[in-house]
Amino acid sequence: MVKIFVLIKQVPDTHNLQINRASGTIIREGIENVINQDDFHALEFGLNLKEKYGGEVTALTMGPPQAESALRECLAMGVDKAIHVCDPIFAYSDTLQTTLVLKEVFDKIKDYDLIITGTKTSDSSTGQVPYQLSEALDIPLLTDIFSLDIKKNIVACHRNFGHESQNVEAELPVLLRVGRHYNEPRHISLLGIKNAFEAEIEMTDHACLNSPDCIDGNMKSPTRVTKTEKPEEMKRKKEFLKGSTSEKVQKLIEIMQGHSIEKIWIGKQHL
Amino acid sequence: MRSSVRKFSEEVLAPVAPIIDRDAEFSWDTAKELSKINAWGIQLPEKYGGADLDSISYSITIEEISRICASTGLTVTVHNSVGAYPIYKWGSEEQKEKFLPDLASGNKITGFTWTEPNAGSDASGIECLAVEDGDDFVLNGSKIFVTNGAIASVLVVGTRFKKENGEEGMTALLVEKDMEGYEIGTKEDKLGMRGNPTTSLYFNNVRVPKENVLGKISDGFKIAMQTLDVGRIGIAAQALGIAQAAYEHAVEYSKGRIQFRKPISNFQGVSFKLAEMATNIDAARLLVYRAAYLKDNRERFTKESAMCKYYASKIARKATQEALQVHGGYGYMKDLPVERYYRDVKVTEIYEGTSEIMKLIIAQQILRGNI
Amino acid sequence: MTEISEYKDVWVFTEIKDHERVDECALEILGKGREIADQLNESLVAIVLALDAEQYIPVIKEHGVDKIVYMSHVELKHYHEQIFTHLVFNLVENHKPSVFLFPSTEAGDALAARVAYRCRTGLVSDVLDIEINEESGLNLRNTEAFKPAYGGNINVKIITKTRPQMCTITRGTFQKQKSKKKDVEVEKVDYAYDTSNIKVKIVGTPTRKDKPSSKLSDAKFVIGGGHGLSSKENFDKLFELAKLTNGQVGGTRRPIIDGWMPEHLQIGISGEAISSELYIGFGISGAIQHVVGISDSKTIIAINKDPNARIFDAADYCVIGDANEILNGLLDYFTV
Repeated sequence: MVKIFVLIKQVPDTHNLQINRASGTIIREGIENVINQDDFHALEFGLNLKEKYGGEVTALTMGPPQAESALRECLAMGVDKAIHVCDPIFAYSDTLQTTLVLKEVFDKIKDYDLIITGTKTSDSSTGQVPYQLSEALDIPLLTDIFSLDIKKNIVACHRNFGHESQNVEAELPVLLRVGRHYNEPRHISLLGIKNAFEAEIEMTDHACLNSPDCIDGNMKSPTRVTKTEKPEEMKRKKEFLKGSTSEKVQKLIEIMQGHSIEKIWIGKQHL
Repeated sequence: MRSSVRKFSEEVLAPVAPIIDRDAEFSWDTAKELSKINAWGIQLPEKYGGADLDSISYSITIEEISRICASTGLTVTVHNSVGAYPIYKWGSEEQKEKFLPDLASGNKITGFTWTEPNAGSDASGIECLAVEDGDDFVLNGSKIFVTNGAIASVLVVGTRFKKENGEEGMTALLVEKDMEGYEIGTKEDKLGMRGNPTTSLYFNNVRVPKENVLGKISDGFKIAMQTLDVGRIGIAAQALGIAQAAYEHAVEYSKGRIQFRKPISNFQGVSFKLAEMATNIDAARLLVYRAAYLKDNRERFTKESAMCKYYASKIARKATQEALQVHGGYGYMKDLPVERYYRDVKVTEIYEGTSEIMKLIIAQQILRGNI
Repeated sequence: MTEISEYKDVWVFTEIKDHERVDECALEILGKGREIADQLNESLVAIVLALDAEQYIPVIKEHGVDKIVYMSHVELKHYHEQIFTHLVFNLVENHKPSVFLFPSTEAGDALAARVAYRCRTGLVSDVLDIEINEESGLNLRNTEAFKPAYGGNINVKIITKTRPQMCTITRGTFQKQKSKKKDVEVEKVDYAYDTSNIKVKIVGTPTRKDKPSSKLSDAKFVIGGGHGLSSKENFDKLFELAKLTNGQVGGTRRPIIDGWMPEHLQIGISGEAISSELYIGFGISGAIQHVVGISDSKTIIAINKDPNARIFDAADYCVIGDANEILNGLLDYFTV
């Protein structure tokens, strides 16, 4: 039975964010919290694997109490279990602290085969956690995969790496980072929603961890945000191109080249 | 709940909404997608494959579907509330087992038909006649303006009946498309709700077995009236969804449209319209949810359901009209969906009882002491 | 534990791309690294791991470095997560740089995150600017990184309390600066790694990758079309141009209704929002429903017959003219 864990994060919906000018923080009132878009692809990937190999999918998130609603959404989508890693002391964790907490959590879980993540979060968009968790748990991370087979304790997958397309094998447990291109997340069914309200969510707090000493999101995170600001609104140049049609075309080509858009190689006709 | 259906609607229904409106075609592909979210069996029990939700959740679902595609909202609400619901409520166990699983999965579409050329608001004036003949009733007559008419596999059909012992009355029959003598008329060319295929139906000596009588044979009128009480909540939710869409478009547009060097939302002539729309929509929403709440708590809701349908369809018509006005000439063009809302919404004041009939029901209820 | 004051020097992971050239982004970062090193009065060091690494030294020398530290080995031909992480972490342990900058590439992002974890230090990704902060009271200097967050809607300033202070930088953030120091020190470090530890085994022979077709929302170059193209034949030319330039086609609502384009290519309120490097709109009038969807693009070009078309208010470059003629002109250039 394959034990699959999908890491998800609840993020503020990024449209129309407002900054409090005095404190420099984001105004959270009226902003809807949603599951990070990439994470839906990770969930879909996990659910697909379960449908293929059997097993169990657990959604796991680290976040404030309101992140519960994100886990309920995962349950509605069809995951079997949900774990909420939540403690005031985890607040303000940067990626390193987050990784350390997750390492503690998985050290306690012990029995895991696959940990699946999305590529980036839309809030801090660091994309670092999958790599760092791979270091922390000392398990391989496979990125940019587009097919995957599990045979006994070996996972074989086809992935892009550098400028190569490779077939690789690794022993379970393995971390997988899923991109946006390889699946279309399913829609949540009404029955799923109904059942999700009744499901239980497992809570994990600071006291549950084996060796919690290194954990303190606020005090021990190596990076600290000192200021947030709204970037200046981009003013468009509105420059009118002059000249004949061919001169305008020429100018457009120059602008395109300035954005590294060049003729691409499409076969022998160029030889 | 709302956000899930909204997401589904925006991703799956939004692309097809203008197409099915333009082509006046029902989309079976969309029906399959709707099936994945249990939209065909919203309130049916899980054992038949439904989602077993309460009526407020039902209203929200219809509202969100209609916000994006009113035609689809119509197909879904009619299927659920006046097709599947009466079968579940009054059907025998055999009937339920025969029909409900296919209805809940959307493999089969259903609906309800009462209206005839000579019987619209005057529901008791129907002329379709089912005459007892051995184990069957032989049905003759015709129905018009049948929502889902072209796509339904089974319909709840209101008819008069005449038994061999001379007993007469009104009954509700489950008439199936495959029965001999069942003929679907041409699709109506409509102002709005064009994605829902509305047709006439002709019954030519259709033999309907007695096991297809819904409920007690003489309960037809009662079943119809109680079914429509439920159906009206769905139509009100649908009107609400259309109003919401029109309103959101008006807000967005007025903030971006610059005239006299200002967004037009800075002019009170426009912003007051928005304020009125918002208030009306909220008031209608509360009326819809109240009717749904009363239904779930098994209290009387005939008056409340008539009220919510009357009010929601009225303010929705007004909201689409004002939203179009806010858009000016752009609103009149097919590039934007606002003109579609304007066309789609009108019928919510007509079907499942016109606004005038709603007022009649409300008044009757009041004067009977239900103040 | 090492005192923060013992960490010195600005390092740049000078990535070698496709075992044939120095990554452009790494060269740009060397330019910024020079500035920081001067302000801190420390050395700028390029870190190179490659097969036949010596061949890249002359190019790197031209970009203002004080020192080049390199390893050269056949196992370093491609980035390998375990090998590179191990070797680079050892270098950091031995030399203790105060600042370590990485190009934001597939390898750079991965390596930076892994090394940062092993060092238990902070890592700031995709920074836009780096300043020296004198305020920390410890008489230490912090780099302060500006980075975009929340989909680019806000910027945050971040300081790193630990050392080294690490960040990744995307291509085009900084400018290359050519300058040559007199005596560039070059240090070769011996390669040592026990490959029996390797966890991910490659089976069979890898092939050069075929890129999956990308989604509109992620596309770098988007070509938009509207009703002004006047026919399906003309609209189809957009797809031709897209094929020739590795771009993606999108459009307004109207071409969908006209049947020129599938629904999923709609850009705007009821479609996709794009954030491309370059967007060119052909024959689009510029209803806000569409403009909202393109406003995150870095550069916007609009082509329309009508000099008062609203799309021009949202554009960087405006071309008054027949969109079809311009489109044909571009196609002529890109096909020949």
